[in-house]
Amino acid sequence: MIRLEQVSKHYGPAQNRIPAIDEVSLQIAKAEFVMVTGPSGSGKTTLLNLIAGMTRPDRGSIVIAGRDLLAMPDSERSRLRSRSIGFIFQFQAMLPTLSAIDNVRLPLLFAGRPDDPQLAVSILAKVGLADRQNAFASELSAGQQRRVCIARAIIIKPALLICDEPTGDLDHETANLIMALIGKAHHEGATVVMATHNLELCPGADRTLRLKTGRISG
Amino acid sequence: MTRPGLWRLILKNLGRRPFRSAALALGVAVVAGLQISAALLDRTSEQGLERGLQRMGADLVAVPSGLDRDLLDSYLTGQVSLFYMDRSVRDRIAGYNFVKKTSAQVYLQSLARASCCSASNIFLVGFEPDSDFTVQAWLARHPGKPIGPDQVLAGAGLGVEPGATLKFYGHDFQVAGVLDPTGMGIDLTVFIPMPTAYLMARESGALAEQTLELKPEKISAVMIKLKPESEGGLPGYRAAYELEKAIPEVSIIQPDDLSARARNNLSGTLKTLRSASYAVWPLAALMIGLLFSMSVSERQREIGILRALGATRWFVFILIIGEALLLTGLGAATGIVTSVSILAGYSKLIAASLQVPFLWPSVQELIGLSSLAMLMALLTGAGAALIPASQSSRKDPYQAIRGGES
Repeated sequence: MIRLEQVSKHYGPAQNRIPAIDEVSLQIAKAEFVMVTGPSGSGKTTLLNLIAGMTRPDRGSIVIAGRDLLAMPDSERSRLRSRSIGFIFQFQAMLPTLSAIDNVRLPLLFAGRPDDPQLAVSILAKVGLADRQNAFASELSAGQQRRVCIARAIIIKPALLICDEPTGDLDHETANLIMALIGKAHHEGATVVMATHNLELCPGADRTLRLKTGRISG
Repeated sequence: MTRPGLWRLILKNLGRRPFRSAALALGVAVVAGLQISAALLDRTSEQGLERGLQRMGADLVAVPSGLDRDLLDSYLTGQVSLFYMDRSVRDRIAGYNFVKKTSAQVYLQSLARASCCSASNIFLVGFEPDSDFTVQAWLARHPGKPIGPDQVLAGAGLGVEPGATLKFYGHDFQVAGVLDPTGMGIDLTVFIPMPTAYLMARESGALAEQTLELKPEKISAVMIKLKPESEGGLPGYRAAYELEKAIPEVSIIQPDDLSARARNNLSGTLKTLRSASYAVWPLAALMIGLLFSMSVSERQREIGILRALGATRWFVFILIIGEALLLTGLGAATGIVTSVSILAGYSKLIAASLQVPFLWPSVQELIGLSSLAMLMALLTGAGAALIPASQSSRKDPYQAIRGGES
């Protein structure tokens, strides 16, 4: 499903490049649940963004479902994200000008699928927000916003679900609820790659990758 | 439930900063308003002049020496100019072999607030029905009965209908016809057969509140038709020169003088409007560019999220350009509608204060001018937003989310 070979990504000015990901090679099988751990600044977020085609590596190759991500034009990478990849951010990522239901319906537009408000309502119901479908981000708690973002990520039934610290700033109960939703997506066949500090939250993961200063250490 | 699409995102984005959006639209409204005002003033005066010059019908007009400007102002504003010269001048002019026709006119003014006059201070022009080729030409284009001794032709600006009765110096006249509007001062003129004008003067002692002093041997102007050059005539400027040299007591007006006078009156205003428009235009473009840069910069993370959800670079580009187009379009529409309304509501005041003719162009032409102003505003909006739109859409989603770090 996912193959990275000798992938490197640096930040900063040319004379002082800091490696965020350094010569990383890995493979993730279809429907596998992989956890990525490591201290802050170890490159977890960069790695997830590289896998999602949201940024380009400086070196190396990334192959998703047999297709070379770097050889694709931007429009095709956008299409891949819209149809096959769900991304859950580590920050509040609801679009503030759209209601909860409109946030959830938006990926259907980019995926070129017909609008389906009923599907959006049923997904919102799955995350426990059926009664808050018309609420805006400013009217929702952090946990509720995170659940809207999960609903938005799974409405397209993504083959690959990428979660970047999805429970970072949430209370234990909400974190458990969110992990259950991610687990459910995995059980339904999605490949899950999740970055987290909290290993206890995810006992069902198939594998754990440990990152340290941009390299896989275990 | 409307699908959250491009236009909905555009509207929502503009609505989140209503004051900023309104200020930007207002700036564009001012620019578009100045632009359409200048274009319309130019066009309305040109239209009026064309019609006025057509109506003038003469190649040259002779007036007493030094009073040419007075007559030009009368033509443009309807202000009454009273001056007289000896009728023999007409015969001397007619004697030149390059002159084909001549016809005299005499200028009068109705009395102010007098029961013997229907309207105050109206410019009355006595013309010779037998020799006239200016008013007669109008009658030829609008065939009807020849004008009778107690009939008059009224300018379009007087608001009278054919068949109405007008009274001047106690003498009743029937309106035989109303002239097409020119937007010029001559729209406020009443044309009276000259013999009746002299009769009216003679009878005024008995019929009017004030006697009209007008001697039959006096005229105000001579309308001159030149022979074509192929028949031994002279070009207008040359004929004017010859006549002024030979008859020092006259000044000769050419139709171009009327044009030049109107253009001269209008040039200051047009220059001001255009300069303001040209000065404000780049400022508006700069303002749009800066505000859109700020707006896009503030929304960098949201744009990154859209891209993460699968929005293409083109979608993001069109989203930002669409916001600029909608905002400038609304601003331009406001400016255009406001300016056209002001010009329409105050056209008489504007024409009088600028001393220019004011005749509205056709609806098609008005739509054309408005569309042009709108197009320029839209191009400015799109052009100004081009850089922020292009920069923002070129970023990788992750780069946008991180706020533009490289």
